[in-house]
Amino acid sequence: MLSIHKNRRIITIFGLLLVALIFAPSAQSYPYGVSGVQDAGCTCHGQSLSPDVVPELEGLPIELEPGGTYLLNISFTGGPSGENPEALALGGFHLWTSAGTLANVDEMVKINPDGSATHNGIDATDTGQGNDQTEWQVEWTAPMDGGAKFILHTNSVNGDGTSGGDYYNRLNLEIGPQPVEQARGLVVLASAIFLMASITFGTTTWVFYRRDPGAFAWERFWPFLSDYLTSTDHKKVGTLYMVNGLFFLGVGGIFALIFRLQLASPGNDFLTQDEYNQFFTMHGTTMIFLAAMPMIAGFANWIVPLQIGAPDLALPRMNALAFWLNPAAALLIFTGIFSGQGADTGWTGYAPYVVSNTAHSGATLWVAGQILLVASSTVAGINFMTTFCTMRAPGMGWMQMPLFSWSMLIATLMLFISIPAFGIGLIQVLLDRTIGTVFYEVAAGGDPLLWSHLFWYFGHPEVYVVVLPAFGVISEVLSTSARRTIFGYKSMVFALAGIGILGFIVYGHHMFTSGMSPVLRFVTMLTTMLVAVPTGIKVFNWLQTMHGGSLVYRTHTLWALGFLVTFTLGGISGMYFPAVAMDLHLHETYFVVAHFHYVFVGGIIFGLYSGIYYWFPKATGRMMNEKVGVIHFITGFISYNLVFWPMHRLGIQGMPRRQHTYFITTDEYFALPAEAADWNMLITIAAFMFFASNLILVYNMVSSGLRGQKAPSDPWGGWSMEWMVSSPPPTPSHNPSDLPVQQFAEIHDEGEPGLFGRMIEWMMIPEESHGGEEE
Amino acid sequence: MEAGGDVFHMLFDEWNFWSAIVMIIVSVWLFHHSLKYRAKDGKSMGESCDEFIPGVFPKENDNLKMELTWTIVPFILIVYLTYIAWGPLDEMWSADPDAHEIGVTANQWFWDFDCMADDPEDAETIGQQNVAYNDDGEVICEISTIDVEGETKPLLRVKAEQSLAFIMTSNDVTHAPFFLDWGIKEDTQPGMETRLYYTPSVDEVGSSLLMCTEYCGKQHSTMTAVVEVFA
Repeated sequence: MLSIHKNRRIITIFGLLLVALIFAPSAQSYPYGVSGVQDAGCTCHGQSLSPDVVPELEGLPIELEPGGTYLLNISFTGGPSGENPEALALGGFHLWTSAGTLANVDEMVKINPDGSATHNGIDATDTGQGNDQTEWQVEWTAPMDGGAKFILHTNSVNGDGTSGGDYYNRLNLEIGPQPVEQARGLVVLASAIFLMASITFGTTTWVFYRRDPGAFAWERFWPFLSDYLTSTDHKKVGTLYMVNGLFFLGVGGIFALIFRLQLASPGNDFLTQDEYNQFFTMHGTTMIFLAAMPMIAGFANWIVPLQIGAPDLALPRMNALAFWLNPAAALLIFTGIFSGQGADTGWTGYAPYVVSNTAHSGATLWVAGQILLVASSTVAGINFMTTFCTMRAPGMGWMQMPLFSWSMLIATLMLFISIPAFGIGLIQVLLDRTIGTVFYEVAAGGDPLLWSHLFWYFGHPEVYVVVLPAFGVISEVLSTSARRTIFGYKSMVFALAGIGILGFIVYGHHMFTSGMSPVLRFVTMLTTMLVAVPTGIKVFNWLQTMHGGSLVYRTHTLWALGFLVTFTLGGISGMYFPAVAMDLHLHETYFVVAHFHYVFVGGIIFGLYSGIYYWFPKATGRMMNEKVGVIHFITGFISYNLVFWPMHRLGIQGMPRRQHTYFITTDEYFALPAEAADWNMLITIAAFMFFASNLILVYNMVSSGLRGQKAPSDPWGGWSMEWMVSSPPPTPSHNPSDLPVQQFAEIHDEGEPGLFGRMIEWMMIPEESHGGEEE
Repeated sequence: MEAGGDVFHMLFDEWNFWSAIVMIIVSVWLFHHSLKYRAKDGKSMGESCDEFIPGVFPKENDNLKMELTWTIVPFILIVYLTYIAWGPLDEMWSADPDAHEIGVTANQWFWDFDCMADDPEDAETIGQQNVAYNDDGEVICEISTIDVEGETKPLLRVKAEQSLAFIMTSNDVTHAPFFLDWGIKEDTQPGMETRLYYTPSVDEVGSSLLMCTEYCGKQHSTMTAVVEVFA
């Protein structure tokens, strides 16, 4: 019975979908991501090529004479041209050639700055001009050697004064010997990487297969796979998040290496401008949304329930949903790359560029993918907040939560409050790009700054969302390693909350040069300066934690100490921007790039690496190799600083970011000093070293995970509740019928709940009323 | 020549000074504590000073006086830095009524300058002005072209000691001219007018490259021009 009902329901849903498809207005996204005038042609009238219009190009010889001059006749037939007896205009054309030079023979034709030819007379009221013809003549001088390609576009114009109802078409012609297409550096590199990876994978698999052919049976593999695909256990989902995050950390790193190759020397042409723009966009999007966020979610999934003494998260199915939205989103975000039309908008995706015709068509899917990530973050946010509010172990008050859990709570709250603004912005962009709404269309009255406001209202808190969990990790690691309680637990929590509140009112510092109201600029200058205070409290508290302690040097300790150096540097360089007069010079230069990489890599990634070394034994039940870990730290820390420290200097010298190339001072004008080229070369070399150093971590994780020493339940001597359970933890993580109770080293009197506690309690359904057992 | 204007360098030196002090304090503290308070052999677990036991919230470790110190001292420093960063704002954002206006229109992917004659009757033709004079008949603004790495780019020549107001807009998407030598930039927005004020000094005589510093699409990086200051 049940299955029939189910089938009926499915059939009904599909039926409704079909009906909806038939009646829904058909929508079309912008079909032309412009990648050069030869692709999209002139200001073509119409959405797509029309076969009704037949362009013709006559006058080319069969045998090309080097340097010869030819008179070319351009004409077209078909389309709406000539149907209207009172037409204001009849047609237009655009002719592009790959070699030789075009010249006009009369005033009907003009030559564009890029050498292509087009008709004269753009005004619809001009009569007897170039746009009142269907035939034109141009003179073409053949190149001294080799052949040429021609691309001709013609518009068939109905003459009603607008471009509506007009049609256009394209004609491709080749003459003479065509040059052999040169190999593209990028294609060669990508093929080499792919080949190397597949050979490595193939041989490794073969070695394992030869050792134990029976192990490769599907029956042994499938239970493992299906377990991960369908699990709602917070530990398995956490592992999936971590694998997802580390994988995309590598992908984002490869993007960075590719465009660092391009920037290694001035005037390089390893990448085209088009490719460069896609790669830096994808690098940013990947690193923030597909690497940093999932890794943080991974840590949160793994550690939070263990640390607050909960058997699992409050809403395990929603947790799995939040994760599985990620791979789908990644697929959407990357789709454009494979078609050569990846998003080229920068990770900030500023409107009106992102909704303009010149942005690549892949940007539509890039936006759609990010909407899925917004959904994922929202779902995860609800889940974590519920868990924190309802599932803390008996006896654990708000002010006894371990600091990592506190940092996750604040981060989740911030994300939950800020991400709707981003979601709204993205949905508007998606609608603008697909069904032709005009939220960001300036000509229709859209505000050119609307997107920047929505984006940075989310974008700046987002920075804290990813950095706060790293703060939490460092608090745990330093305290455990120093064998000392974290100094000033309460001020640490208040500093986190302070950053959480201030983080919302500082976003204007991203827009000091945008033409935003001076009052708003001034206010955000003050608030941005203030963020330094809570951040400073945290840094000084960490330093003081070591006082009177007994610091044990492990790999995670080294990463935490390294974090203190690099994060402080990143924090200090951040203080240069709120001074508006300085920001006017530094905005959008490499100084900004240096600053946020010191925060993102030196802060977040170093913090998370520390966390990986710290919690790996808990998660896998095996210790990581300390020697390999130390090598990873030393190589990583040095090469990292070599990559990003020189960028400060380049920024001060005025090297703008997001640029395909850079200009060195010449006799005619002042630009970057000659040394900038050397610094860029150094950065590129160091970037490869930094990337390689991270492979050491991957090796360490795999080899230690397979055959590392067995880990005890509390290998580092930490105090929080995750160290109470075995390594790896059982499922459910803490026994639901025998939850751990928070104990206290000092006499602790449980006072009345404070204002915040009372507020939470007021929002909660009282314990007694759920479950229908009473009466 | 050096990138960045006088205001930038004045503030930058001040910030460097205080950054160095903060960094020295943090580094000395970090190295001192991490070496002095290390476990005997640095490796073994060491004795737990606060007796950590899993599931037991440890002894408190705080000192209100110290915590207040590093809340209040940085706050005072911040207030001081804000105060000195405040001054130049007035100079940057207040309009000079005698400034000569220069129009900047950004397009994908080229710059359009307009010298805008003060008195419309002086204008040689209606529309864009390629040259403008002051009351003494001296040239204060002139537009021509220059070759930048094989491409023809606009050249904007302005007179030193002449107060300038750039009236900027865009025809398509957001762009931003970066006056490298003067250390200033401002976005150009479609459908909106933004302004920049500057008076180049005699020390700034010479040409410098003007780049686009708000990402605007395919040819963003080659959207350049040259700005020359003449005495």
